[in-house]
Amino acid sequence: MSSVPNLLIGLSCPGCGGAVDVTEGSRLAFCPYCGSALAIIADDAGVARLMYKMDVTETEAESAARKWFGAFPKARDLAATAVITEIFPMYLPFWSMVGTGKGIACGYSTHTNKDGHTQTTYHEDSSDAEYLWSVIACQTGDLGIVTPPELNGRLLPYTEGDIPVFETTSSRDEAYDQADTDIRMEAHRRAASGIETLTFSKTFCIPREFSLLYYPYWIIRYQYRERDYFVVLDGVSGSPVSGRAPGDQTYQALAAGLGAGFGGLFAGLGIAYAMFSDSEYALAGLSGLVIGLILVLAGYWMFRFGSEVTEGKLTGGISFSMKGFGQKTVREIER
Amino acid sequence: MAMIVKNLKCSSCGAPLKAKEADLILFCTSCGKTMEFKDSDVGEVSPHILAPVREDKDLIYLPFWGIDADVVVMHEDTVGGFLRITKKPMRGACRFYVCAADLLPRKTAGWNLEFTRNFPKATEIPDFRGILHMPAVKSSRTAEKDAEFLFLKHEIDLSGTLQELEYTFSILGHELYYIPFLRRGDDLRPAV
Repeated sequence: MSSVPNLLIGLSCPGCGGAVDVTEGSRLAFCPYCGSALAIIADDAGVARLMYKMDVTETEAESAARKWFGAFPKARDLAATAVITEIFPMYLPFWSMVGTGKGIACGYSTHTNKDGHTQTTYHEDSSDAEYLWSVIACQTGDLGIVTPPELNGRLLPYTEGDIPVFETTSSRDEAYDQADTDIRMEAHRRAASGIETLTFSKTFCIPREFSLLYYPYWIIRYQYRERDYFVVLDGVSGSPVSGRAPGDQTYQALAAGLGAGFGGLFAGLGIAYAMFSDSEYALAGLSGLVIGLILVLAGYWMFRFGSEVTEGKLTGGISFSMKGFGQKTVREIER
Repeated sequence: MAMIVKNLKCSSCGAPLKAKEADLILFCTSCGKTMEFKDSDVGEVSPHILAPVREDKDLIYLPFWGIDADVVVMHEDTVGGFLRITKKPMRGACRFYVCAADLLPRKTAGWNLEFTRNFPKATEIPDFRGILHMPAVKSSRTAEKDAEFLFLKHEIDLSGTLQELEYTFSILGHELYYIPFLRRGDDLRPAV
């Protein structure tokens, strides 16, 4: 589940000039000073463009990167010897929709009893919940950012040219249609859960807010032993979201040795136990064999690919980070 | 161009509209008319304010849209459930009540169905009598989809298991209602 962040943007009242805060995606606001009711009219494409405030300074970003350099299983001398060649802020665009998804599903399921009779169970069900949908709106090349962050922080109106941004590569209509489809599919998935054959279904997506949000990152490029690497940090929280770093040959050798040693030991003991124990305990021996094989494979994986360590959704190298995995495009809102 | 802010004016008398919070329903302090905010402008709407069963300091009004629709069912197939005494199918001209307050569906779904099936018989009063009211965040246009979902929800709640349904759902109009609720902490209960 996801919670709706307290999204606020600062605009000026045309009557008194006072600062007006409105919730993201809202088309209506009021001035807390003169009380005027105000209509918020989005840009030509009919979409509100907003940006999150960069909370992490360049110094903090460099410090966070050096902390990341020192984390296992990267090269042990990386933090001391890496040379940062470039550090710059970048804003990536994300499409975002908050909307209610409703679904109705009817159908039946069949199953065969022990006596061979087929039994049919009829179903009718519904789902009704509010969702947050968000997807990246640009191509990030080799940066490996494909999933949206947990959108946090303070929102500001976006003014073209004020900040460095990745160009939006998907259209507003495409994104809107995709959000509508994804929210409907989630509503349908919940309503139709457990129904084998559908005979009637209907879904609704009722959008409340639709925006293009620019989220800040720090991109840090560095060199280690004359090879180029990079790390991308979240500009609000300062945590690493993707990156490449050199691995450590000692860790690789240790992993291969320990994996083969302990793996062989477990496998051997497992086989012996399976062969010489009572048949009802043979399964325990087989599980020892499986654990042994997993240890051998894990050791080989670390040895084979451990020359590079990756963070986020990047190909190659080894990664112990689960960031971005399992993160859904559509998340239910909890308040 | 990124975002423009525009002052809203009463469509009846032209006076600037004032608000204390972002509410799709705006009350003109000059001529007393009620306005519904639609996209970037306003249109007049007549609210029906229901009197509470008794006075209480914890009363609060919740906005509801009464959506009128013509329901025509061409084909329906239901398995079992031949007795439909307590809940009757909705056909022809029907009214569906949809909560417009900023509350999650799991909180409002029960009230929407309850009021649609059995709208409380209460006296209408001309104003809120000093009782607070929640802002409306759902527009009447948005509530039309909720109304169609309410119809389907009612259909599957009827006796028997619905398997097939062919229907048309045509919107006829809408009305605005303010219904009193009793608020105890996070709990809200209708007070009509």
